[in-house]
Amino acid sequence: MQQMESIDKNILIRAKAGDLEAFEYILSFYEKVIYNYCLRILKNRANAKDVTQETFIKVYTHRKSIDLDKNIKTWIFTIATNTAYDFLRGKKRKNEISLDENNETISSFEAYYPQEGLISDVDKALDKISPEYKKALLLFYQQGFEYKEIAEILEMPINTVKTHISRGKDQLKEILKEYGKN
Amino acid sequence: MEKIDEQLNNLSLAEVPFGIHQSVMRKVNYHKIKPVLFVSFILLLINFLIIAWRINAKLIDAEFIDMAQDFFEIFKFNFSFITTISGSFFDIISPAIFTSAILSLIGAIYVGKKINTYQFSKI
Repeated sequence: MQQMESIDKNILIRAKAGDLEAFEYILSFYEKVIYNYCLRILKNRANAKDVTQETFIKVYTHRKSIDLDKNIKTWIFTIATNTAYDFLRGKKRKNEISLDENNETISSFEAYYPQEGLISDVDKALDKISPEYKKALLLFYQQGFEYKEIAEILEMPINTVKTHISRGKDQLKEILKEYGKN
Repeated sequence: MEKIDEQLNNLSLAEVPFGIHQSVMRKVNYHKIKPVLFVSFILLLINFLIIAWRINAKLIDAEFIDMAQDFFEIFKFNFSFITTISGSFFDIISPAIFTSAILSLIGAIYVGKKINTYQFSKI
């Protein structure tokens, strides 16, 4: 699990008061992880970019809700998850997901990453498991959240989070076995 | 299984596309100065309405229709209409109102420039 980084409390206080420099610091600190999280969920660069922008604008407009005693990363990821869900719901409602977009997404996914040669099988397999399991796995392994925090972000009981992580890993194993055969 | 755990811990990270940071800061900045823009716009609108009202009041006092007819008669032969209007500009509009309109305009331009020239400083 990766180590959890945190932002100085003074910066959070300043950001809460509307200080733009403090907000910019938070943006710089989390933009990469949020963008990558959105990219994994949405599987489309342009959409991930839009959702990342919207997430941080929501962070600024709802800055008064920053809880100084809680991990701000959990709060930002909750916003990102909800924004991504809303985005997908909106797309579904408008029936905007065209065949072309889906094709582009799947075929060029490897091109999102600069170190193309270093993409592991797990990287590729992760995009083939159920989205619910994928989110739980990403938050647990890539972002280093605890079960309790993931439960808060995904708005589900802790036991469900544990089940999702376990089943996600099972699915991953199955897919990796398939890769091994080919 | 341990290998999967290890690989999950080291998933690839894509680089953030250029422009996300700037775009968010621009929108946040706009959000912050929106009240100032609103006040500037209201001031400009009030100025416009006062000037329009003043012009209207002054011209009505000067029997606008007759004056316009006279002017159009003269206009056929020369450009005295334009000269009269430009020459009597400050007779019709009070210099104080004109100055306040100019100041409001400068304020609006200044705010606009602030949006465009925001420096993305680091802490």
